[in-house]
Amino acid sequence: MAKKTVLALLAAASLAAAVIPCLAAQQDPDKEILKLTLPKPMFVGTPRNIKTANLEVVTGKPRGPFFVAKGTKLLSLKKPVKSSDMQPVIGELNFVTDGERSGEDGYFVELGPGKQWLQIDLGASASIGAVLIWHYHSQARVYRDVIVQVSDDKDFLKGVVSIYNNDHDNTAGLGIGKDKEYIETNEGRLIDAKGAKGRYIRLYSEGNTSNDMNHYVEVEVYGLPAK
Amino acid sequence: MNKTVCRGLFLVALIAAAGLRFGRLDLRPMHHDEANQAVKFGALLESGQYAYDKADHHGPTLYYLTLPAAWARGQKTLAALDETTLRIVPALFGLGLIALFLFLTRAIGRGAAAGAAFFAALSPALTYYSRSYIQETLFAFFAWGFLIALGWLFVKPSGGKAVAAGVLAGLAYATKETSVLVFAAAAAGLLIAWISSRPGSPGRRRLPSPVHGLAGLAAAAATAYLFFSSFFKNPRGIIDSLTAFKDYAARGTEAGLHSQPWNYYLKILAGTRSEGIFWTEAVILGLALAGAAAACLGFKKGTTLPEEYAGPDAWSRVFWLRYLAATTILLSVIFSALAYKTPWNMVPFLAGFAVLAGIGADALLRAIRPQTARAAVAVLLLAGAALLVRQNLMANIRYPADPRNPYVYAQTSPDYMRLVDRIRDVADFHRDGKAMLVKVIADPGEQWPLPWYLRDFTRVGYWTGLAEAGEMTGTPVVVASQEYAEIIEAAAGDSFQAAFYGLRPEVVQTLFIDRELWEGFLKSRMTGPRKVLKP
Repeated sequence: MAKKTVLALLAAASLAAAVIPCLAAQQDPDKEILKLTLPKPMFVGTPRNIKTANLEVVTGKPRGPFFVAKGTKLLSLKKPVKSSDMQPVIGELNFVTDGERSGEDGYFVELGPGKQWLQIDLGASASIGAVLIWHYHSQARVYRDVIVQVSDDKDFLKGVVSIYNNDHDNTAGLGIGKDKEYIETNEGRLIDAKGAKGRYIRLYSEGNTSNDMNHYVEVEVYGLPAK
Repeated sequence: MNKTVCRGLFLVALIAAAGLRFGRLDLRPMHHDEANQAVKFGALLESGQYAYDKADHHGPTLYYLTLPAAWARGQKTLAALDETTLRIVPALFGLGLIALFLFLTRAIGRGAAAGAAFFAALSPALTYYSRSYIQETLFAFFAWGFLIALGWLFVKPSGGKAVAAGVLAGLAYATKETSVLVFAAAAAGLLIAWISSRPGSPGRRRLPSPVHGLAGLAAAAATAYLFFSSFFKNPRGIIDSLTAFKDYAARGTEAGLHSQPWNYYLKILAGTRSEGIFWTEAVILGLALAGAAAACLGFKKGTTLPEEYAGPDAWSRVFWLRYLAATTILLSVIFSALAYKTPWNMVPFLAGFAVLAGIGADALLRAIRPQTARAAVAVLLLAGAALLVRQNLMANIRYPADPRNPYVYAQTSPDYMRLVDRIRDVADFHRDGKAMLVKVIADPGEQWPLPWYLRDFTRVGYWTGLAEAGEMTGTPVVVASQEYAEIIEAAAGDSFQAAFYGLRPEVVQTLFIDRELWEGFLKSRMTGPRKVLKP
């Protein structure tokens, strides 16, 4: 009986922890739900049941609502992209911001093996609310050492803010990250940028569990132009 | 084509082949078959021990012929070996396969032979398996050496040719059990060529004598015995090589995981698309068809021979074309008919396709009379060669371990090298260094290629079940397949840092590192992280 009560309390606490921030955000008159368009799933079911402390558990359930400041817009559409691999063998760099999210062939760009980065120029400094990334969602795979940074410096030498880092052993040399690795799905990875300010978004990765290449289907950067 | 031009073209083909075969031999992670054979070779290198295992690992030649490479590089132990020492052996035989086609210049013409050398040099698949520490390229070299020697034996019989054919047949047999398929195809190819090349032709001379046959058989038997008996140390080896056929015959028909449709090889060569990349060796395949057609010309009574074959040597040239075409086609049919298929099994008949492609390209250039049309064909052939070079670089340099690459089969993922690197990293922080205890718990098929990568670690244990592996807590490093990883993680709680790594497509393993050891390692990796936003 006592065990059941404890379990019920724990379940209630977990639910509250998940719901209360949403409710708080919902009640915040300056916030609104970020409207996202997802591509169709390219594989059915959940991937092989891998459980380690650094890998996010796949629930199979859709992501909940995500709240951003009112007036938040998609800032990255058709914006210029450059990368550490300027001559990709597959795809073009502009695929990353062309608005096409499909996981099929012909919609992704492939950067070379090992550590590579890709950078989007928003054209002007902005307050970033969220970044949504689809590396490659035709197959359940995990991209290694995913790091996302924001800066006003195009060379990322000063004023760099890391908004996501799952490099848990500092392989990339950009600091140890506490974020979890995740399995790619059609939902993409939605990163809370917490209003980080910058004109440039740089995304790192270092191969994946299927091969040592780095892929991007689409990256969407949402925010408010900085005042 | 004069002799000098022909030699020059062969030289260029050999240089191109060497560049593609010898560069960055360490680029691709070791396939589990390569690793297994490397460890087996390590035992031969260290202790001189080798005994033919009829259940697996094919014949002995690969191991014995790797010895000179290890000696040349001053490597005397398994731990001292590296990928380059091992893979340079098939790479050299891959180069040798191209050089063998020099013996075809007087058989099929200089232009056709030079073309064959180029197509073999540039073939992505022939290059790929020349860079793999497996038997296939050695087998193709010995098989084609045998086929060429056998052809010459029938055109101009002599004792030397009989012995050469016998030695090469023995070496092919001592390399792979599928050599019997080559022997069967060669016999049928000879018969087809002999019967079809117009009885009564003035060029048709005597058959090899029974003495030639006996000399060839004796040479083949002696060569095979030397290798299978481990140079007289294991006489039973030659008997085992014969009884092995029962197992291999069963494997060929009950292929299990390796079962593929009949057109598996043809599809790979014709063209496949995989996640944005198109792979093809259609240039070779298409020209090989043209070569086969050229070989068929004159089959029917009254059909005139192509002009270049007119003259006193006409019979032998037609015989050669038909012998090579029939043998190659039969080989491809036999290998396609077997349920058991792996992409490297196409190497012996793909080498034949390269020969036929050389014949086809030569025939096309000769058949077209107007200069402009001939120039256009030459340009197209050059464009085809350029496409092969690009495909070759994609297959062997850019995507050598990528599952999209059609020549990649159950290949160790590059992701697995992170696991290997991490074990090596943490060993630096352990008081025992490379004598640190490492427990590997996985099915036998999932244990490889780790024994190769941890060959210089002295305390690595391999188990196929958790119970036998003993206590996990306190073990510095544990590698476990997924079925055991969850149990270990649940039992060990927070005492390990766990991370998963891809071993092969759809196969992952978990690396457990003792928490204290991990913290020590992590401290060394600390560089001042840049500003991280607080939640």
